[in-house]
Order: sequence, then structure tokens, then C-alpha cells
Amino acid sequence: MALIESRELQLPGRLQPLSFQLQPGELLGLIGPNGAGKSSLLHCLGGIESYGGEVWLEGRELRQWSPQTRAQQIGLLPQRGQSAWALKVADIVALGRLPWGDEDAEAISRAAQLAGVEQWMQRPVAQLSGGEQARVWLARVLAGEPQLLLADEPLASLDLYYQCRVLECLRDYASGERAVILSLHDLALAARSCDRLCLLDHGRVHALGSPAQVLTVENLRAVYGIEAKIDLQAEPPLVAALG
Amino acid sequence: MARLTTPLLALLTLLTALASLHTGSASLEVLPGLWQWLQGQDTVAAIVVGEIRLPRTLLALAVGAALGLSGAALQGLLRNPLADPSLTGASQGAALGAATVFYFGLFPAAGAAAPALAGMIGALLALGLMLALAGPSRQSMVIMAGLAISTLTGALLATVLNFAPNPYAMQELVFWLLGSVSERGLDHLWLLLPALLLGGMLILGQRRLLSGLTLGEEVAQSLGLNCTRGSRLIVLGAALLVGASVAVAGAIGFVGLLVPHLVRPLVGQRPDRILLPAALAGGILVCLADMVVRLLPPGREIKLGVLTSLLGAPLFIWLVWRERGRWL
Repeated sequence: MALIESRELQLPGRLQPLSFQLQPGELLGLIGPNGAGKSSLLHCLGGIESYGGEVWLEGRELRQWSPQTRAQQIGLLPQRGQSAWALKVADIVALGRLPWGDEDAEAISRAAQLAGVEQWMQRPVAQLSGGEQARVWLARVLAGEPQLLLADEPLASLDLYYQCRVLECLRDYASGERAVILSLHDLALAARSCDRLCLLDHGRVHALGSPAQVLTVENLRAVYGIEAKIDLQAEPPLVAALG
Repeated sequence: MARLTTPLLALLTLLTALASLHTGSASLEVLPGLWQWLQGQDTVAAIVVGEIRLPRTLLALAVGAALGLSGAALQGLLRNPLADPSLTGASQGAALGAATVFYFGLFPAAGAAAPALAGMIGALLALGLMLALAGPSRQSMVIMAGLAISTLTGALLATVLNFAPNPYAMQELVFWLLGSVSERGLDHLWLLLPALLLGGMLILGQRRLLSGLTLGEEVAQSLGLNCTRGSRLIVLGAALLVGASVAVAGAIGFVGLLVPHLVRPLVGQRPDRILLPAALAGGILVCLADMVVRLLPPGREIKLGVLTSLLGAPLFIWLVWRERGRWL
């Protein structure tokens, strides 16, 4: 059974009716130009925006879930992370437990370990570098142990090392009963890490399927208006814009 | 340390209250006097302690607690360490309400508590207007609405001052606005306490929202928290607190702004854990400042609000300086 199923999900002016299913253990990559609707889609699923159509999670429409139980099942990592106060990393990670109303020490330390932030737990988050902070924001979502993790451009502004670490972490998280949807711009990384890709353009799905089905010269020309060189058999896969 | 903050501040509050009961021009046996007052005896000590010093002490603690708590809650809600409780518009509303008493002589039956009563009504009216203006919009609009109502009531207050019927009424009003907890009785406390309890409960009920808002509205919402409803309740609570305290004691500046800064490092900066300590620290600070007022040489008394502003302004300048250093 699908973990989450969207039926004609829509957002006037931003998302056209959009249907897809996500299986447990799957890592789905959302790709597309700026303004294609990637964040809007994640916001609808994450409970930030109200939407038209239906989204079913574990056999129940999302609107039937109370906000708290929905937040226990679906965790959202927004594009920009910032803490208003100079909290310790441990306190930031503990915020992920808010939907559960506890500060489960084991879940928090598991999340810290997964995201690789356990060595900074007692440091103020403001003292960490941007890449280190990105892992703290990720640890916060992981601490809630949601079945569905939504990550909005988690790799933006990260150097190559942190891109690999964060992606690895999301890849590992998408296993068993859990699944991950992430939006990203690096198509080669998307081809390498995601089970399936969803190419959005002007709020509608242009292509949905395996990386080989989605990352074609024609699709990229139609959506991005570029010529591209694509070799998905190479190790690692190659997707390069030629101009 | 963070866990000990509240008990330690509670102990300090008790000690401050005792010290405040001992502070005054007459030297008295305070505890026996208090005991006699409780038993209804009318000895000199009982009257001085029970009728003068106790209301003044409790009022200073309650006003300080209301200001400290509302400041901490609004700074948490707006994610801005420089947010001030007067942003809700309630304090100006309270000041206008009280001013009309001096101007029109309303509520003669309420006696000395009339300005406080009218102040409460003024605060509630301003609050109602502010919430109606803000409608179901975002929290930033609530503050804009607060600012707009604050400006309107400020203009009306200036008009009242401008057309004061006589210099005496104007002087009364200005002195009252400067802020003080002297010459007030327990009836003022009964006006303030319900607002303190209700406002406190509204704010403390939203601790999880204040926590979640640390990472922004999007994150708070995705964590299952109702930002719109919660923000309203926090603003309502803060307005009740600040409106009631201005109604009872006039404007006591900088307490709501500065107390959260003093307490924040003691609670690991957490906006949910700062609330009670900020209330206690606010009470201690106002009570200490009022003791200073009483200890100054007799003559023309400096008003409590003037003293807190004189002490608070340099501290505020230092805070701005420190914040600036952080961003350079």
C-alpha cells in the first residue's frame, strides 16, 4: 500500500491538479526550474498551505488528521533554517519532539547521530558554520521520526562534503516504512540518489518516473530550455547543461 | 542551572518582598505588625505594614510580573529581542482611559481606584479595536494593528492633555502617567490580579508555540502548532497584562523590554522556559526600584516609572551596542 497518495492535489495559481503515489522506502526527488511549484507541493503535504484535491496518508485524508498527529507522521525541513535565539544544538534538535509532547532522549540522540551532530550538542547553534547548521536543522526533523520526511532544497548552499553527507542521511532514512521527498537542483545528484524523480514545470508534472525516464534531453529542453549532455550509465551519472 | 532558575528567583522574590516590608520612614516590627493586621487589630504597626507597605509591595511585584511576562511572551512571539509590550496598543489605551477620569471625573464612586478602573476599560477597548482591525491576518499585522491603535490612542491622549480643564488636572494626569505604586491600596491589587492570572494563563498555555516559533512560522506550523490562534492568545494575554498594569500603576518603562534580556541567559535562551522567571524577575526589579524610591531623601519623590526609565535606558543602550557588535 502506498504511504502517501495525492489525488488531483492543486493550489490555485501555483499547482495544477497533480496525482502521484509514494511507496514506503522510497526517495522521491522533486526537480524543476525556480517557481515550478516544488516548495508549494512540499508545503501542501507538510500542512503549511491548504490545498484542493485530496492527499491520503495511511488510508485517511490528510485533513482528517489533527495537526498534531499529522505532524507526528510528516516532518518538514524548510528551505531556510534560522533560529531566533542562540539555543544549544540539543535544544534545537529537541524541538522535533514537539508534536509528540515529549523530549525523548533516545530519539533525540538517534537523530543527532544520524545527522552527525552529536559532537556539537552543547554548543550554541549560532556558532556553527552554515553546513554544520544545515545538519542541525535536519537532525531536528529526524528527531520527530516521521514516516514521511519532506526536505525543501536541503542541499542548497552546502559544499560538496555536506551535500554528500546530507543526501546520504536522507537516503538511509528512506527505508522500511519510511519515505522521503526532497527537492533539489543538482540533476546529477538527483539521478544518483533518488529512486524516482518528479519533474515539475509551471505547477504541473512534466514527467514522473525513474531517473532514466525523466532525465532525457527532450524533457530538459522543454522544461529548462537548455541543451544537455546526459549519461546515466556513467559512474557517477552525468547530467550537464551545454547551454 | 536552568532548572534552578525559577526556584531561586521565587526565593529571591520572597526575600525582596520581606525587605520591601521593612523599608520605610518609620522603623517597625514588621512581622508582628503583619500578624496583627491579619488578626484585624489596629495597632500602628498593623496599619503601616498592612495598609501601606503590604499593598505597595504586592502591587510592585504584580506590576513587575505582568510587565516581565508580557515582554518575554511578545519577544518570543515576534522572535525579536527588542519587542516591547506597549506594541499591543493596550498601554496607551489604559493611559487614555485613566486620563478621561482626570478630565471628566468619571466613576466618582470608585474613589482612588477610578483611574485604574477606567484604565482597564480603556485597555480592553483598545484591545478589542486592535483585534478587530487585525482580523484573521498574520501575526505581523496584529502588531501593525497594535501600533495603529497605539498611535490613535496616543493622539487622543495628547488631545486630552492639550485641553486639560486646569493646570492641576494636567499635573495630576502627568504625574499619574509617570508611573508609581505608592498611595494605592489592596483594591488596586484586586483589579490587577484577575488580569495577571488570566493573561498569565493565556501566555503559559502557548509555551509549545513559543518554542516552535524559534525556528519560524513555517516550522511551527509544520510541527502541528496553530500559529494564528496561538498568536492571538499571546497578544491578548500580553495586552491584558500590560493594560492592567498601566491602568493600576501608570507607565513603568523598560521593565518589559529589559527583564527578558536579563533572564534569557539563565534559561539557555529558551522562549518557553523564560516566562515564569521573567515574571519573577520583573516583580523583583520593580519592587527593588520602588524601595530605592522610598529610600531616597524625603522631599519631592521621584516617580517609579521615571527611575526605571533612568536605569533602563543606559542598559538598553548597552544592549543595542552589544547586538551591534555581534553583527559587525
